[in-house]
Amino acid sequence: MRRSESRDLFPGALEIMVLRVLQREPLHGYALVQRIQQASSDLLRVEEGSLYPALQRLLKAGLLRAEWGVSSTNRRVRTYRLTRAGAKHLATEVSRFEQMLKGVTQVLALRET
Amino acid sequence: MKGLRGLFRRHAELGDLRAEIRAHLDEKVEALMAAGMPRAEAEQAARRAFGSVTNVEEAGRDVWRIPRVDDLVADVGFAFRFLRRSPVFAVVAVSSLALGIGANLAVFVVINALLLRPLPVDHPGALVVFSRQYADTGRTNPLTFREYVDLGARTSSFVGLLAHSGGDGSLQIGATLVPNAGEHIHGARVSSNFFEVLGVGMAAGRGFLPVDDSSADAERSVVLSYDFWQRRFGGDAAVVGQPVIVFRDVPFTVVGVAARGFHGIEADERTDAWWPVSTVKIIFADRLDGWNVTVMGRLKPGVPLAQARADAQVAHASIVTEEAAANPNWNAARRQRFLTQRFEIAAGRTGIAEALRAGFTQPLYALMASVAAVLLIACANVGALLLARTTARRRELAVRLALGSGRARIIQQLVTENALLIVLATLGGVALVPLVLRTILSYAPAAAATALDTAPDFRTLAFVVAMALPMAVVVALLPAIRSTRALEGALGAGTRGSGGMPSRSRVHQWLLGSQVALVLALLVVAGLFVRTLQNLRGLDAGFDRKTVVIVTLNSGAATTAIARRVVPALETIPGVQSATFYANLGLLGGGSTMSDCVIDGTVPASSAEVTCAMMQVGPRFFETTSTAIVAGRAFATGDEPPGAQVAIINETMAQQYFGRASPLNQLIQGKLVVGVARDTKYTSLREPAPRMMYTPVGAGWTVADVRFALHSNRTIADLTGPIKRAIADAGVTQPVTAIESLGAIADATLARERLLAELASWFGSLALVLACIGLYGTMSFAVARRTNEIGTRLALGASRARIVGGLMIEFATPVALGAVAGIAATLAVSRLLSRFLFGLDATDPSTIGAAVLVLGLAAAATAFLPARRASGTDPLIALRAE
Repeated sequence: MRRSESRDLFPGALEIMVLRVLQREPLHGYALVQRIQQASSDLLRVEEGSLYPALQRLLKAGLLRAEWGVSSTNRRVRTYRLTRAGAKHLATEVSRFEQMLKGVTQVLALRET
Repeated sequence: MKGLRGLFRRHAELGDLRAEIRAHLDEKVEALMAAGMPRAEAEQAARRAFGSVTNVEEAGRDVWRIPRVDDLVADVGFAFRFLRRSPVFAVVAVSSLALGIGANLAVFVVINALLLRPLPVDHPGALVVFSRQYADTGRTNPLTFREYVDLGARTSSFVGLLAHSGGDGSLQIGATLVPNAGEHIHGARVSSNFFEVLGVGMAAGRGFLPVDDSSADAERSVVLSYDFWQRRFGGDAAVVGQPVIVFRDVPFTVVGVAARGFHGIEADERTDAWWPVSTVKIIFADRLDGWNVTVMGRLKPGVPLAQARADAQVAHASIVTEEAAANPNWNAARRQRFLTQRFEIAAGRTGIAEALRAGFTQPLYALMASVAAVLLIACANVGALLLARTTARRRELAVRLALGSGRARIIQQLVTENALLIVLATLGGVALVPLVLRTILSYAPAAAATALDTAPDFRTLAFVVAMALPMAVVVALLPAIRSTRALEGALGAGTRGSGGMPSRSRVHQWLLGSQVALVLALLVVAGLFVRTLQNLRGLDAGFDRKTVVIVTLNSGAATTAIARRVVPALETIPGVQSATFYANLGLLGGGSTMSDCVIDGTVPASSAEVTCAMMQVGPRFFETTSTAIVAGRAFATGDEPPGAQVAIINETMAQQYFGRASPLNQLIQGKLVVGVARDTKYTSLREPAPRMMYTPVGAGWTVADVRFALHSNRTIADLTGPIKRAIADAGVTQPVTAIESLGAIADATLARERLLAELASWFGSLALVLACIGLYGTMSFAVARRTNEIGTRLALGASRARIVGGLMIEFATPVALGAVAGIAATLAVSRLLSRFLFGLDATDPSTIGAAVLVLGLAAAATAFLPARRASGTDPLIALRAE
């Protein structure tokens, strides 16, 4: 029943990216989408809505904090920032992701003999 | 807790999420419009890029979902709505369970207070109580102060022994006696180590100084109970050190206040103040050694009860032997009685409440059994109704199963519905407890009703849980599981299909039959108790209950001079025909001591035949109490000792001692028998009169337990004021503690029988009503589900009478079987029951017959209504409904 995971990504990828982006600076939802697409040079297409359930999951897990405020463009927005637990989680996830990527790359590097 | 916080947080988060999504879309639209897109198009594009808002919101909600709690909340909400839709059912189910729960809990609270709750002292489990029994009476008797002292010196299993002798006092502040200023208190004379042995501390001041309790110059000090200190002195610490008078005109000093919550060692009466047992010497210089005391001991750590018992029994046996040797003048019978006594020690953690426990332990357990039966009936009843209801919902449940709900999920929801009933009923039951409790306690002596500690404790809680468990099974689980069986097939069948027809279902028949069995057993028992009470009330007590009034003064001991002053004062009251006084109790005040009564010149063969109850009486005693003199004469002026030595014996004694020969002019214990009085009840209406001997009170005597009797046709209410004034006018300083009619005193000795008869009737009727409700409900369901069948039969020409008869017979079978089982059950416990009965057998056929008749009529009347309604079905409507 979960519609939150974008079919284009592996499970958990969206969360890691969200955490990484938010580690650099606190952002609200719309800005976050823009930033992810920008950073991936539009290679990744995130369905904008799918971001929100991911944010909710991260909030529930205590990896993010959210508070309402006013943005630079003078609109009421809910800004997310990383908690300490979020930072720690990101570090482990990134290293796990790199391990996995390394493994996948090595497998893909096999040539036909 | 976490679940609850989660629920609140989720609510807030969902609001935030919605606002956020709106803000996101707005921002996107603005961005697109800034890039030159028209508004309508921009809005569409924004939505497309975002995806489904509903899906996102739902996914967000899913994140915060707590599955179990959510289901439960939904189920409880559904259950409440479901109950509200059928208020009659809800009220009947909840109130029948609540009555059962309330009655059970209340009876348990009394049992807990009287029999289970330990004293609020240090390690109550290490306390033991000493007692002795004489072979002839079989009653438990207290020890003497001398024995207490000797036991302390000769045993090694105890940290310490204490002596206690409860009694009333009259307290006033100050060192000089003011007439009629005293306040009636319940006091206790105790050994000086009383508080040390119990391990009870002081809230203010100190306890008694450790002294030799036998010495005459022990301190004249008083320790107050905390409650009394609060009530009487408002908790004023300055009371410590004040002079007070607690009896006679002897000044005492308040030395301390016992720890809060300690009300003495009597479970059935709260002690207001304690003073040293040695003060007995102030009134009776030579009676301390023979003073009756309750002896309790505290076991040394690690000493088992059996070892302590052996230790104390050896010690007591040597005391008994020495005592017998020191009294060579005892006759053989008395010697034998004394030597064959049995000394016992028993656990003392719950303190003492000898009289109340002896009278009420078994009745309370009997009541517990009957209220348990009432609760079982209520459970079976509600269980059956729920089963019928749920069976009627099989179609709805089957639809839900077909739509993908798991059977476990459906059962969970049904159980929640049923559990809601139990929860509501438990709340209602707890609310009922004070009412039932007050009813039960109204049968106990007033002092006991306030003293019994009915505050809830862990045992009460455990009892509630223990009650809830069988209820959960019968009421919550069983109907849910039974009715969801083989649901898959239920969709295909018509709504009025034959599946799960209550009258033909085995579970229903069992539930109905067992209810009937329990109800009938309760009705029979109630009938037996009611007949017992009638028999006892109808007994000839030997005295006139209507016209005799008994007056009790505060201090038990009185000089003859006082008594002779009071009697003429009472006789001056208008409407009082005569007045008198008597000592050593009797006239239902009881009195456990039996004195030697040996015919002069004979040597008795055994002790049991030569004791009798002694009553010392004032002038005009027989006339005042309407006790007939059947032979010889009543006492006359000049009969008083030491001038004369005469006695009057009762019929029982005359018959047992002299048979057909005339007892007149015979000598018993040196007294000339001048008359024979009719037998009068002595301790209670239930017990036959003992052998009794009356003697006149000698001039100048000090006698114990003096009471006054007067003969008048006026009511107690009319007499109370004049009596108090007359006694005060006579210059008597002791306050009046009780003015009762002899009839009321006689009825009070039937407290146990009244408790059993009245409560058993009450619970029996309750059970009958519950069972009828159950029968009615079950039958109504059965009839409603068979409208179709009945309509068909009517259409085919069956007569209405036949339909009604057929339906009723279907229900008659389980009712009849249940009735047989119920009778068998009462017969099985008839030996247990006969102990409480008087003047009839536990197998009394007329009582059983009456119970069967009542049950049969009630069941038939109940079953007739739905059956007749069914026979009134219009065949056309019934068939069209299909």
